[in-house]
Amino acid sequence: MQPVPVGTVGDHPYPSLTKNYHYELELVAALRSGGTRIPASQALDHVYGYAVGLE
Amino acid sequence: MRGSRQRVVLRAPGANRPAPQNRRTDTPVSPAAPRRRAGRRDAPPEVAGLHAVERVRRHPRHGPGRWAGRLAVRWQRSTLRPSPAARGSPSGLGRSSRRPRIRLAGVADRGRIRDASVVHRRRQRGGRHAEHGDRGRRRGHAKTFGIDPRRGGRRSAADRRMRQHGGWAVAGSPFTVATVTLPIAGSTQVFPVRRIYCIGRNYAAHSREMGRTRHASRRSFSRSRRTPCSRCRWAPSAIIRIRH
Repeated sequence: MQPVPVGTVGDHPYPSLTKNYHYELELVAALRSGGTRIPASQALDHVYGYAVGLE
Repeated sequence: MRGSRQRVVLRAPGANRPAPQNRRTDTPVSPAAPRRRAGRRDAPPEVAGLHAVERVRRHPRHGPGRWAGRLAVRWQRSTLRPSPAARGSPSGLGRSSRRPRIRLAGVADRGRIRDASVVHRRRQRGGRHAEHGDRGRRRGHAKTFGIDPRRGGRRSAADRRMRQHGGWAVAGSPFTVATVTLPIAGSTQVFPVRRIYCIGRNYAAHSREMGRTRHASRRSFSRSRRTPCSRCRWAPSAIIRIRH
C-alpha cells in the first residue's frame, strides 16, 4: 500500500514484465468500527472517513 | 445453598459415566478402558513435571486452543499439587498426571459446579451454545476456574503466574506484524489499517469487459453469488475480496 497525501503526486513503479496493465479507481470507506446486523440507517456511523484508491 | 458451601473435588469429565454395556448380551464390556477424547493430551515426557507455565513456553501446543478451559483446570491443579517429578516419580509420569483429579482452587457449591460443567461441555461443543447465554456461561466459567468477575477478575495463582510471564502471547506468537497506517488529511494522526474489503457490485460486467482474463487466478477472490465470504453476508451479485 502506497499512501499519497492530498496535494502530492505519487510515484509508482511500472511493472515492466506485464503486458496488460490496468488501473481501477476505487472509493475507499475507512471504517472505525463494525458489527453485524447493522441497520442501514446507522451504517454510516461506522465510517471514519473516505479516500480515493487507485488499484 | 450459601450455607452448604464446601470444598469439592471434580473428577475428569466422563469419569462418572456408567461402564459401557454390550447391547446384545447386556454384559459389561471388559476391560473398561478409559475413553480418551480427541484433542486431549498428556504432557510429553520432556516437559512432564515442569511448571505449567514453563511447559507452555517450551511446547506451544499446550497453549490455549479449543481445550483452553480444560487446560486451565489442569494448570490450577498443578499449582495445588506437587508435580509427579517433585513427588519422586522416577519416570516423571505419575498416575495422577494421566488421570487428573481436578481440585478447585476456590470455594464453590455442588449445584453451581454441575451447572458449570454442563455449560462447559456445551461451550466445547461450539456452535450456537458458544455464543448464547454468555452471561450464564461466564459465571459458570468463573466459578469453575476460580475467576470471580465480581471480585475484579482473575485471582488464581496460575493466572497471576501467566500474567507475570506475559500471558498467552509468550506461548504462541512466533513473530509480530507491523501496523500499517495511512495519513489522515487535515490531521497529524494516522489511520490504522487492519483489513481491506474489496466490494464490487459490477464485478460480472467488469469481468466481461476485461475479457475474463484478468482474474483468472481466483486465489484471493471470492466470487460466489450468495455468500461472498464466510464473514459477510452480502446481497446477491456483490463481490467481495478481503486482503488481510
